[in-house]
Amino acid sequence: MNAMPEEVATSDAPERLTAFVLSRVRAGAVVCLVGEAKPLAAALRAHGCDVREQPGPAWTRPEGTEPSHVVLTGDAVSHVLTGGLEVLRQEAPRAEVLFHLRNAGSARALLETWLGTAPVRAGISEQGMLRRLSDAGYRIAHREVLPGASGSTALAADAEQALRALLAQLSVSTQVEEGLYAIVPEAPARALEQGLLSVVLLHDPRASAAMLDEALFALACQEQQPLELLLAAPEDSDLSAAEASLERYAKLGTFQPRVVRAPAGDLYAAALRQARGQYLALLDARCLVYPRHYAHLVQALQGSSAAWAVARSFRTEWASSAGAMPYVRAKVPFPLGEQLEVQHLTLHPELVHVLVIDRTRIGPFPLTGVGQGGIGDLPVRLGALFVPVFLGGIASCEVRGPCMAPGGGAASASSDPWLLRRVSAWTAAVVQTREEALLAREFRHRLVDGVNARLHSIPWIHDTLRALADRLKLDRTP
Amino acid sequence: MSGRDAAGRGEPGIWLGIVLYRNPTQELERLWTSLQWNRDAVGAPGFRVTWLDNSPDDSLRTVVTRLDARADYRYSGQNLGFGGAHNRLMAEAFGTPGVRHYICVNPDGVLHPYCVRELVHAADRMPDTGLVEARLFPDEHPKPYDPVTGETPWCSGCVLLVTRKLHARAGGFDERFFMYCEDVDLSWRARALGLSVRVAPAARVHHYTVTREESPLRERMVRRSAALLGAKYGNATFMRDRLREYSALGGEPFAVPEVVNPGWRLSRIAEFGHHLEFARRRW
Repeated sequence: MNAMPEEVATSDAPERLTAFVLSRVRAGAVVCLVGEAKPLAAALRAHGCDVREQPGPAWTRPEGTEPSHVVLTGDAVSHVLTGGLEVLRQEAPRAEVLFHLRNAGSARALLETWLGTAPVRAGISEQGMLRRLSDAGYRIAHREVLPGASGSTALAADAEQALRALLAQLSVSTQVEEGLYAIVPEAPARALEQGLLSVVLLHDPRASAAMLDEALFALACQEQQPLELLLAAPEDSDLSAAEASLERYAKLGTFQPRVVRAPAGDLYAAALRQARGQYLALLDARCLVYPRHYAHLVQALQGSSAAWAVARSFRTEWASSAGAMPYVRAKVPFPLGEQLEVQHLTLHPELVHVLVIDRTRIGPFPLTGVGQGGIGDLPVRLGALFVPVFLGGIASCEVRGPCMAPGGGAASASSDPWLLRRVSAWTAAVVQTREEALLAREFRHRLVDGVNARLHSIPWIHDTLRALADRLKLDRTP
Repeated sequence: MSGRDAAGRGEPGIWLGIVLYRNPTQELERLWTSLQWNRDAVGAPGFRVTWLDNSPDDSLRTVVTRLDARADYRYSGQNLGFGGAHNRLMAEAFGTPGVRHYICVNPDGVLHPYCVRELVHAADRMPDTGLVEARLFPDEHPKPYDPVTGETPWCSGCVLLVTRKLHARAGGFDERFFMYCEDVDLSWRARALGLSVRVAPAARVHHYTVTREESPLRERMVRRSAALLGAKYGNATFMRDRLREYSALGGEPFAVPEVVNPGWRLSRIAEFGHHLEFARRRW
């Protein structure tokens, strides 16, 4: 595809950039303006700022006082973001950088390009920009975006909706048409460490110290190596007991312990930013992991091209116990069957704790939910785009808690994601479900007949069962 | 070592016996680390550790003494079997004044930091204690136990506390069981004597064998021991069924044990209705 010259941004973009910049600077600020923007320069001076103008598109260090703000305009946005961030960070290490970006990777731009109704939008995508920020050592301090409008292509509305939704599931950035950004320096993100498994264990202060200790003890006896364990805890929670456990179990030499502190709403996101592993698992104190659980899941990923792998697990049900320790009443395996069905992803939200993700195979897929920081719907969102490897057989970990019906604690998906599958795979799943339903009906019928044969001497039970059997037979008739 | 015995002789009241057989170095390192946790735990009793090596040679001496320069390591010179080796250590332990409990410790386990403390606490809680087992972790054994008292049909020998009282009245393991089922037999004999056999849920040992590689030798040994258990407790059908499985697994013929009448006290306790589980399962 040939890139076309930058389209003219929406007509009010310069005014919005001006308003945005003025909202971020105070009188007396030293502002370096990169690119031609006379009205903005005048507005800044009127605001009481010391303005240094540069023609762009490259950033050059101005004489005199180090700038407190750098504003990128016009071609300077793409130029600096794609190749000049490292120099900017080095030469203006305390400066907040402000710019407007028209997202070259918006769903609208992509669809219009695919359909041939518009040229390729020039410049950098928001997703590409985010990646560059991470590599160069910047984070977004503030962001104001305009979402893309729908219904503007030559496609039927539902088809366009599906395509847009799939793009959004892979990258939230595709829903951004344009945005205003304030970025500030931070430590550059480290590259993922090949082969390393990062296990993020979220500490819920409501969970008992004994539960957390058991979860850590089980993790200390994992066979998977190398393994880093990130204990993620809210900033104000008491971690003294947990840290003592971590220090003690680390002496087995089976994992590298780390503690991540962050506000409760940002806990997973903070831990994920610090996790260095190619492979990622997410736990909480309810989980007990058997020794080969992660080794088998990682092997499954290494032996396939799948983006994630999930294992059969136990839902361990505690009885209300008079004893000091919880009494296990039952362990119920889930999911059942030899295939992982789409329904399992919504039926068993606990699957989020029994999976391993290969982060090199999911692109920009958002691991935490949009705007909530949670991970409750992660299996559904992951499964909608990526077909997992399912390890059936014997359950290899547990999710513990008081008795509850399957799916009783279900956190349903925050959205209703679209499913990316071949039609043949979908058809096969439907056929299998039908066959299993027929088998189950046949089994019920035989069971009822068998019981009936034994109880024929009790007339009213006999009649009731006879009627039930007849109903089942009728039900079985195609 | 802390927590000397009441007699003040400087001898801990608790002995841990570890029977070795060609164990990997890493396994012993992990076990030793976990024993250190147990020594350091708040409120933990002092304990003495004795290693008895059933291996064909004494090469593990180097490993054990590297872990603990003052280790009490003994080389048996022959494979005495699980029960036989523990019996020798137990006899010595209870021959020492002030020793209250002997704890069998499997070398392939990792003891939770409070394992020894909680075992001893559970044992001392009731006067009629015969045996107390640690709860297998993370996948606990599905046999039932009373959530309040911890009473259970039988105790696993993985990490098993034996009281002086039990040893005095029942002796140790029946050495005809070379390996496997000797713990079930000892549990049944303890119960027949009116001693309690319990789980200490707070005493945990990391020991997971569900997915370990299948070993025909191990499977044959389990069947052979189970057949002996059937014979000892007068269940000829159970014995024959296990011998059939033993033979199907390629086991060499051996002198079939004589089926005996164990008497009513043992008969009412023995439970052969659950194949090799010897108790109903909770799941």
